[in-house]
Amino acid sequence: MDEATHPYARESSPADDVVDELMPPDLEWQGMVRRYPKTALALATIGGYMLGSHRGREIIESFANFAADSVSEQVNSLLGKDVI
Amino acid sequence: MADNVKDFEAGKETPADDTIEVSRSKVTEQLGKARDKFSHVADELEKQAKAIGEGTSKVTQQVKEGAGKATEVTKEKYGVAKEKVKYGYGKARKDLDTLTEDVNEYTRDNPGKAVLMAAGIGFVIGLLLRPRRRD
Repeated sequence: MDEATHPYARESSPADDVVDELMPPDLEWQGMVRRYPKTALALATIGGYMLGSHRGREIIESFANFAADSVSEQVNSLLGKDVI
Repeated sequence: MADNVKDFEAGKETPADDTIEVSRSKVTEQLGKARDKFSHVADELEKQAKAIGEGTSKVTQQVKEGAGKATEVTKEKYGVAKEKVKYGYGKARKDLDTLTEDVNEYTRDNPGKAVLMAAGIGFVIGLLLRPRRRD
């Protein structure tokens, strides 16, 4: 069934865009998730668990650095000079 | 002494015979009294045995009645508990079915959000349960 004619088809949300970027382009993941919701959620939970248990610390540090850089960039752009 | 022997030989009653007769009558009398006492004691023992027997049968009857009542109460309580467990299980199962259906519906409506939330929950669990390194 085509994505556009699917009874559950909705407008693409930002979360869908994020998952779209993470998934391979050929994979029609939304249809699969709608067909097998429990399996999809279980796989996502297992994937998240593996990521958190093996690379959790690094990912959190990266997010923290990214957030700090974004904040300092915003402050600097507001003030017009490199304060932070 | 010689007179006594002569009397004995002549077949006459001597003072010794009187003494023996008196002693025999006393012994007979004492034996009769003792027999009466034994008979009285035997009667008492029989009465007490009967009383003990009646008491034992009463206690046995009471124990039987108590056991019957306890069995009935236990059966009743077991039935009530069974019904409660059945009701609770049915309700929990219904709630679980409803929750599963809601999750499925939400996942179908918002696949991206649902997948990201599930991955996030798994990530947090993995982060909390990861093996600690000794650095």
